[in-house]
Amino acid sequence: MPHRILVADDEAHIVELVRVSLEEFGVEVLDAPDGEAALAAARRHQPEILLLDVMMPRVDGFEVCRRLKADPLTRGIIVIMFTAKAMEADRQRARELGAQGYVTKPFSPLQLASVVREHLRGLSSADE
Amino acid sequence: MVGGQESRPREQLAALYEIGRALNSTLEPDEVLDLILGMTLDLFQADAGSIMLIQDDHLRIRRARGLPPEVVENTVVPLGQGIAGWVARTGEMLLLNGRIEDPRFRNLVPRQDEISSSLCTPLRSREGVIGVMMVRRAGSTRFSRSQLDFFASVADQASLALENARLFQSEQERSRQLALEQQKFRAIFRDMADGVLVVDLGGGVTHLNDAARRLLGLHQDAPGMPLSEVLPHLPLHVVRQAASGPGGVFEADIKLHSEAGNTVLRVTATSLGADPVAPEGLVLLLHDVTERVRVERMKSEFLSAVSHELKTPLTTVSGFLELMLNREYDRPRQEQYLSISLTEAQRLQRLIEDLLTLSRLESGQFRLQPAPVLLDQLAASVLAGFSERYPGFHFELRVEGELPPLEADGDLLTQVLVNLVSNSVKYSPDGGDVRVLVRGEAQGIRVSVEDQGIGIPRDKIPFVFDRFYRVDNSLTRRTGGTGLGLANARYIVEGHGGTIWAESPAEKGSRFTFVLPCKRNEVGESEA
Repeated sequence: MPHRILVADDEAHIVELVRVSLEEFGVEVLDAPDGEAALAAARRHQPEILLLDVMMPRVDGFEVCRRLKADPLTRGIIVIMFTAKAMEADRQRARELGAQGYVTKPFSPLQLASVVREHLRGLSSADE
Repeated sequence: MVGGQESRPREQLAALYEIGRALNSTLEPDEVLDLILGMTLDLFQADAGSIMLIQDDHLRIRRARGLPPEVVENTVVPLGQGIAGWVARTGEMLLLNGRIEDPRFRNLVPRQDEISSSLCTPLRSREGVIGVMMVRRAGSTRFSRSQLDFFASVADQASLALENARLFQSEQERSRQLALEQQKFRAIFRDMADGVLVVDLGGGVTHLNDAARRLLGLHQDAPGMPLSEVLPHLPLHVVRQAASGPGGVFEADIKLHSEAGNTVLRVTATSLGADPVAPEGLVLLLHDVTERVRVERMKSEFLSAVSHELKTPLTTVSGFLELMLNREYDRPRQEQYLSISLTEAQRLQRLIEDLLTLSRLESGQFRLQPAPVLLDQLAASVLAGFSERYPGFHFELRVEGELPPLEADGDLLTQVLVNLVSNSVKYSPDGGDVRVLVRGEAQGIRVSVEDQGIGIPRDKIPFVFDRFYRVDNSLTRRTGGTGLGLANARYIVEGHGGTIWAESPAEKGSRFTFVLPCKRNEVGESEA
């Protein structure tokens, strides 16, 4: 079964960009347009990786990360946050909330792909 | 009697004692002068007399007997002239008997009575001669040399009494000035816009003004209250330490929460007292910075939002370009990604334009270019443009009533209509009708834009005109809006003196309405 990656972003074109960036990995890409939908999708579909935008309607990315990491069902999901916020304080906050990665917008799709590739490798070696 | 021709020393002493006692009974300068002159005239059995005091190098009559009031009022003797002037200048006593031939002692004061004898003595204070006292006789009994010493003693007593009265008066004047000054400072303290708190070394409030009471929400009288109760978040030792030493100032913003809302106070504290090393307490200045902090936060949030809004389309554009440079895609996919990039680049451009408009509108630099505007035609051309671009929608324009002539900035009103209609399109994912109603009314022109889209939740309506505010809805992903359209529309409408509002009946579909005032009467009158 292919790995699942959930992309939570309220921008349709950003989701499309991420989808195209990751297509070479043969992963299944799901998407959610806001924080609440992201939480629901994470619980329901149990993706291995969540690419999480910070500035989203309803529930922001930090809160999504906090809730996921507090829930035993979703704690294991690798969270990579991406946002336009380039502040060190935000990076710090993401780390403290348990996010495994942090990508600043505007991000390079190739760099994003290599970050995801690293995590996918980690997952494969853990599977073996 | 004692001052008469043959008074004895003992009687003279008794008389001086009486004068001293009488003069001690009052400190009013006028009363002192009256007493001196009256008693001296009695003692020396004089027919007339006067006390003159020096003012600006001239003698003026302050008390007199035997002179008409207008003479008293108008006599000004330069020092050195006449009897009194000579005595004042030289500081010597003078006894004059008989007809005066000496030109130095000409009588300067016009008088009817014939003077046969005059005694004149200087009055002195510590600083020197302050005036003269003169007694005169008209009849045959003249003053004698033996009376000079006694007259000098009386004059000394009189001088002393005058000086005391003067000191007392100037002291009184000084305390009156002090009281006035104190009153003034108290009024300044009371009426200052900023709050002032004075605390003693133990942290007890000793003084506070009305503004401090108001800012701290104190209803009862606070003096005596500990500072820790009035400003719980302000540790006294920290303030004291920062404010100690020469030039020491403590400054901090503290947040206060009350029923009336949150307040941010900038507290500036300095040491009280002349000695900075051993202060007597602290003076705390409280300045309300709530509004400034709010504006600063809004500014920083706005900048953060702008940066996010700019980076989002930029990410898409640069992202797809990077992918296409590094990977091989077939022609249809290339076209798809280029088209997405173009859309996002256009969005970026719109966003920048909207930002510039907003900044110009907000800074007040924007000059309206008013000209006659036909709002129905303007709306028709805006809708024609939309019909072409959005075939899934049905755009309808209805014009009701007679439209009063409108003086407005047509380009800006076009922008308002475009923003409102595109908002309707954006939030009507299934297409449908977008109706624009333009109606002439008594007070002006009313325009409403109505759609059958997803509507606005009731609690979100107050915020839809805020910059970058978007009603959250998971049904629609954002597609190219700048988040500034409605904010700009509001600025433009309000800039024309109009009002704009939003409604969402039953939370299904939305209606945006604005009313522009018209000068209907002016036109009617000019035509009449």
